[in-house]
Amino acid sequence: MSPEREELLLRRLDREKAARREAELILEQKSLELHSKNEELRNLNRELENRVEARTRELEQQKQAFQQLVESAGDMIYELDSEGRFRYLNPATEKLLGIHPELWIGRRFDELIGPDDRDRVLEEVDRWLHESREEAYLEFNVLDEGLNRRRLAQQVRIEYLDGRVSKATAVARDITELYRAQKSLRQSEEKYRGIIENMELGLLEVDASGKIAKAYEGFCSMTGYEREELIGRDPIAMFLHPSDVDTMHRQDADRRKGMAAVYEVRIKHKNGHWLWVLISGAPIPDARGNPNGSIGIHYDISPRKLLERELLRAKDEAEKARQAEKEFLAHMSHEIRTPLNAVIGMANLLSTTALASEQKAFVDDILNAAELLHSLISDVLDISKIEAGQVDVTPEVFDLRQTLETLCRTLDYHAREKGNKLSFELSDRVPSAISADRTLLSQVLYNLIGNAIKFTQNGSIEIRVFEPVVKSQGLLMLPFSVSDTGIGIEPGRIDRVFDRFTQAEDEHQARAYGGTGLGLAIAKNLIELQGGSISVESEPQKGSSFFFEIAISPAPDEAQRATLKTGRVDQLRGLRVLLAEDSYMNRKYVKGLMDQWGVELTEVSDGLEAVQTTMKARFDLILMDVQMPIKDGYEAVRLIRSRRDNPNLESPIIALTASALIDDRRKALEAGMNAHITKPFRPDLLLERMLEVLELDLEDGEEGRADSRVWAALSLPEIFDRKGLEHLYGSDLQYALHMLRIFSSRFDPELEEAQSARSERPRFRAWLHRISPSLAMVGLSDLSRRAANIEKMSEEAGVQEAELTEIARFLEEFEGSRPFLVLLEEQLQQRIPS
Amino acid sequence: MKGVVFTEFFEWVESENDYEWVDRLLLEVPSQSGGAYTAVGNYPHEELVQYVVQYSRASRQPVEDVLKGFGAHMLGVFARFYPQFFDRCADVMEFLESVDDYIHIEVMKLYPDAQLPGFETTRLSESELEMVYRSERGMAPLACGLIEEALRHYDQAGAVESQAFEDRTVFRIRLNS
Repeated sequence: MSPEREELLLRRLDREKAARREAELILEQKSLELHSKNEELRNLNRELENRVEARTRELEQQKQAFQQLVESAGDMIYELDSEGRFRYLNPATEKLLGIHPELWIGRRFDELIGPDDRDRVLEEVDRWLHESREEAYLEFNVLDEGLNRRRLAQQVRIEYLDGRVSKATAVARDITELYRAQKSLRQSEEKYRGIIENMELGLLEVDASGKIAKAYEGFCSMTGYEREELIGRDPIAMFLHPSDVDTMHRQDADRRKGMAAVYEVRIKHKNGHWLWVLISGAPIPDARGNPNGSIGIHYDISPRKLLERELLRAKDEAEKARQAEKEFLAHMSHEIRTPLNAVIGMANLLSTTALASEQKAFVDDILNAAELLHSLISDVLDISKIEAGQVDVTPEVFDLRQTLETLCRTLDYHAREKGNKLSFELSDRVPSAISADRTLLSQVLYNLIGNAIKFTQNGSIEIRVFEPVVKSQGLLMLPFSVSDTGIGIEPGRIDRVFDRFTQAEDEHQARAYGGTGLGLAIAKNLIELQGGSISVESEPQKGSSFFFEIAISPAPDEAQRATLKTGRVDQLRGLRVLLAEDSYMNRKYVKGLMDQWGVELTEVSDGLEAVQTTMKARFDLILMDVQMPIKDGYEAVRLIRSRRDNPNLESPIIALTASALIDDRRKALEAGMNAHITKPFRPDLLLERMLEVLELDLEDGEEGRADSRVWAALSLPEIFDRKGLEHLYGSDLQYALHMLRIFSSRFDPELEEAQSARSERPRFRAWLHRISPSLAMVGLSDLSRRAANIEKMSEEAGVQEAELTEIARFLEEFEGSRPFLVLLEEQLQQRIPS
Repeated sequence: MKGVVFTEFFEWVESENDYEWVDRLLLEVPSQSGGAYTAVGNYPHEELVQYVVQYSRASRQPVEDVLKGFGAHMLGVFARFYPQFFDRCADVMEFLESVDDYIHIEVMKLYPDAQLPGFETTRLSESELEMVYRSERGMAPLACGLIEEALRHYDQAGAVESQAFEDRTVFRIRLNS
């Protein structure tokens, strides 16, 4: 081998070696890289394996949870394969239908469906598949294990693969009970609709937009329309009467709020005539309970409406007749009372003149008959006014004891006439002054006491006033009783004693006792007007007790100045009084009284003359008849009260009314008069009323407050009525002294007159009449009352033993009062600063 | 550049001549490896270019021819090393189409740092294929040699025309019917 060749080979060898080392190095590196990559891969693999395992566990748990849910579900859950065979059924299937899930796996779904419903369901399923529906709902019947029909509601989810059903999952609920309930509800609805239709009631259903949704046969025959003519139409525009549109809109608004109601409207029959229908409308609720349209039940009330109109017309006529009757009564009252007033007035005057006993008896008969006639007319008129609601309750503050005293004094004569003892008793707890309607209360008591006297002979009548009772709503009720020992009331009649024209006694008794039979009815009405009630207890031949109560208000203290004012005739002496009266005989009657009382009287005979006279001179008092020619009393008073330059702008005016008792008072007061008195009146009643209005002007409430202190400081002998003096003079001791001196200066002449007149009945009575009020003026109240009693007693026909004894005793005591009068005069003089 | 290209180039030169030619090239061209190349290594591409140029000068033949001949040799190497690439294709057209779509993708998996040329193909007709060669290395003749040798590998006769552009070379392979 050549050296060149050898070198070449050596070079080649070196190169091969170097290349091999290089390759080994690279391979070693690659090998390391490969190893570490391999490790990384292995780690990654482990990691992935762990993750897959965890995820698998999770899925398994989820699957178990779902499985549990499905297994424990109350609803049936099942899965069908592509052929409609059961692949799974949950345990609820067994619970609901009694079929064992495992026995049903592989069976076709439609085997479950009831034979009666199978065709319908399969048809429906075909439709779903045709439409590639993924979700569907269906209700159908199935037969359970016991071959009972059940109703299922099924929601199914269908899955498709390449346009073919792959499987279906369904949830089904047993709605058998609900289905049956709905079915029976529908049946009962139909049943009731049928009943209503048969009752000739028309049913109409209106949708939420107010259009007719359903019209039933009854409604169609009622209105004459065919069903097709009604559906979709607006009933308001179609047949409602224009005047009832507002009513209907209001009702529709109520329906939308879910309210039902009954109302009447007119609707037009197809043939054009109007029907009155009564509609019972109710909202129709939707599934959520919100109103969705309404249903109206129509009842044809046209015949009833016709009857109603006729009844209204009849009622109207009856009311007109009643009004005419009332007018007649009022007219009659005026027409009869005017001459009657004259009869009574003249008879009264006649009885004060010197008469033979026979003449006296005739006069008394005239008076009795006239007064009975008068009371009959008054009663009839009163009851008609009360029933017509023309009587108002006008509370005033007054002294109840004083009112009872006056009342008893007025009726005492009648009581004694029949040998009866009349008395009253007031509980200490009754306030001395109360606020109530004095006129109404007096009339109630007057009627009850008068009634008691009428049916009692030689017995007693007792009036009691009990402690006030607080009723609900803070009402203060004052209880009264009026008891007698008379003939009593038969148990069979007791319930009807308060009825009009009913009398407790039988026909025979009615004739024997007389009267209108209205007294108790009036009392009952008046008590009810005053917020109270009346009841009666009675035992035949033992007596009767009437119990009643009226609502009162306690009066403020200052009201207690309602006083005893009887017998102050002397105070009237010298007063200037104007009398406006158209009746000549009534004028004479008043003139006679005024002369007795020493009053200067000016007489006029019509309203115009009265106004003219009042412009010329001032009067202390005006007596104004309300019914006069030219200008009536109300008008005259309005004129007097409206002219500032009239000197009598503030003079007290008493209305003389003839026609009525109660609402004339209101009219008189409204016209500007201060008080009223009903003709015919007794002298003492006029006197009392005159003193009342005059004193209202004189007395000062503030002075009255000091009264008790002034008079309490005096050591008065028992013979004097301290309270009476307080009321009369207040703190004005000077005036009291003045009156006492006047009385004292006339004491001797009066005593002389009494002694010489005692055998002359009329003269003695005149003395008594004069002295009684004067005695009260100086505080000798007891003597004053006794004088008045003797005066009344002496009116009786024959002079009786008792009367003579009483006269003697009275005159003795009258004479004996003289030193006490001197004593009082001295005491008063000491108290008055000179 | 992959060491296998160098080792195969020297194999080819030795088989065409003898090892003296190889020895001379290795001595004449300075290299980082001092002439020791291994198939699994990586060497600068410029070194191969210098060996090709040197060989073309020594053997008095154009560089294109050298590359073409080397290309034909390389196809044989590939067929021996990676028969699965050839077996999966029914004919040469399919094989040429799979170079860009499949073979180079597989190569990149093994050698993520390899710089491979693009071979975009368009089938013009049943027997006509257009193949666009893009590479920074300008070794279009090598590709030509590979294509012609592939025809022979699949025992299919045809002609390969090439047209060079500035940034690419378009080969048109037309099979004989």
